[in-house]
Amino acid sequence: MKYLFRIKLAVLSIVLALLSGCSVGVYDGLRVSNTASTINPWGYVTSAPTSASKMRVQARHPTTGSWVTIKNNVGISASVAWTTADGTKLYNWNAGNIVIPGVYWTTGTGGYFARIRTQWTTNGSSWINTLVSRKDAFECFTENFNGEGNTTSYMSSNCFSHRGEAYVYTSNYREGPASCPAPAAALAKTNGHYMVNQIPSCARTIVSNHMREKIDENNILLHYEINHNTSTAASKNALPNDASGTCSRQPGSDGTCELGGFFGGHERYIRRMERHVMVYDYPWMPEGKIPAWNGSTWIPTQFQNAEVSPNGSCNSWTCDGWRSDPITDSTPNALKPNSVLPGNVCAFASTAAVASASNSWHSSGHVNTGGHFGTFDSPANPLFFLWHNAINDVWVDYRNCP
Amino acid sequence: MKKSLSIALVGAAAAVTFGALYSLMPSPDAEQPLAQAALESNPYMTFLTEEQKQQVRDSFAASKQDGGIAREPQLDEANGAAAEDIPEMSPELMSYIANAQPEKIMEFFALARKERAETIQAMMRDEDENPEWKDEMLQYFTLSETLAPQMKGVTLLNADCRESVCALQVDYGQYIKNYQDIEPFLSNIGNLVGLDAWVHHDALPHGGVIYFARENTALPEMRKI
Repeated sequence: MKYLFRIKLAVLSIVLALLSGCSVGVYDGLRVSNTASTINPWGYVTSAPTSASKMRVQARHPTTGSWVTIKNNVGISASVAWTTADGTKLYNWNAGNIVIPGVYWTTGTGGYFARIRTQWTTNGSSWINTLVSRKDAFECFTENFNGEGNTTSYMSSNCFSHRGEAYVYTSNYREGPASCPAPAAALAKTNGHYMVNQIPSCARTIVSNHMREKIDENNILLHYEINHNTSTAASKNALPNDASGTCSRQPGSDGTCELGGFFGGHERYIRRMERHVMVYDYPWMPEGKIPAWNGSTWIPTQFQNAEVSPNGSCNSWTCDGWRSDPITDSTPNALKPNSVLPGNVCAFASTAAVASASNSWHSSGHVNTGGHFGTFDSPANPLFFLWHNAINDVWVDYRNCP
Repeated sequence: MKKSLSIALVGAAAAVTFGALYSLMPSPDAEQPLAQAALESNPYMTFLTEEQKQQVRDSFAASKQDGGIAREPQLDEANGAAAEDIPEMSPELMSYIANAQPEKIMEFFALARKERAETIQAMMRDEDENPEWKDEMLQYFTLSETLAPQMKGVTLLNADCRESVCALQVDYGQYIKNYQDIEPFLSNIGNLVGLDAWVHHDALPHGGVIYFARENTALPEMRKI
């Protein structure tokens, strides 16, 4: 059954595409001031209400584990609130302001969290869960690379939490034991994120584990949808020099690079990972921004190993799984060129020139580290996203030039 | 690795882990000619100019001057971090990777899935049947065909619902050759009904078994890989 895991890019769009509705007002990772704060669950469903259609809001009891309805008989507006680009009509529901009863809060490090979900019925008896959005829901709904945004398939594939429920955190709550420190307020960030060597080991484990949740064949194959020859494709492009077989390796691919060029494609790719971790609102990943590793420091142990493909890993580009062979150097010393340091990078006349000046540094990070990291299967390791976050900093710095 | 483990245990695990890993790797000296040849054909070299390639060669050579493979964990200096968490890994699995035996890895994971299924089935054998839950799950299965047309190609072969676990045997029908068309839906079916679910996708020659845990409970995990 080798073919079972040959997932085409196209199927990304069918995940729950036609299903249910969504919760937007209470998204996964919502912060509230304290346990007495009000929340306002609201969202959309994908079919016009009937007499039996209604919504309910539930909270999970932390002791018994049961889901208890805290708001029932929530009506659905008969007016179309939004018509997506693919013609789907969305109808609004709004449960109004709710204070989550104290019994549903769980004590954690620094504060509390509660688990909320919303359900929809069209026949009055069978309830199904709605999708739950993330903090950047509307940015995600309406982004439009390749003209694919504002469609139910794009939204359902990209804009909802993988957890299927909303964790609501009080302001000072954080994941992990109290002994694992949060970043000090004065600790400097780089373009909104931390560098991996600023993060204590206990927190790196949390960061790495959350990123690894997102790593699968589908996500790894997306890396092959980036045109590494072109700096900033505004849309999909055929890879002009496809000697490495990148954009045609994707099973079912027509040879186009769906994610775009080197900078833009990798930024979009990183963004997918950031959206996954965003729901944890972990202070070492503020606003979901994953850390960066710039190639000059030691690769922490949490980022040395690739996830292993259940469909077989090998040292060939033709195997069904992906490469997981160990890295060969955890101190690759791929040093960022002076020309692309903040400030210096502004001297370049074009983004293409910036990309060209970054190319050998980028490649050195991969090949010096070796093993799986020296291949296009490198996103099997969360280190990939840290590395490309550092590469992307160059583009961010360039865009910020006066 | 659980934070509750002592530093000594962490250290011991680190030694074992790195020992196992290191034994799989060629020595830095022996690796050099091979690595140089591999460098030239590396996919990250293919889109570079000749000048850029030379920069990568220089960087590669310089990186090997620093001692090559780091043989033991080093402590980073940030925030006073004193001990490293060593990710768990299976030496057996790592040996298959190092020896390029993808078929062994597939067998390894297939066995892990089978073991998990057997654990769940053992739980079920000790429990009474729950016909009410079975009726409810059959309703959801029918509903799923309405919500996702792809499900119409999947045939329910059998439903066995006990007190804590419900197992739906399904035939993939036409999807046996295009499982990828149905896999994203099946893998999310637990979220749809708000239950912990797992698809043992290769349990049957032409189908699989979807296991659901009773509301507010969880299925046994797959053994740590």
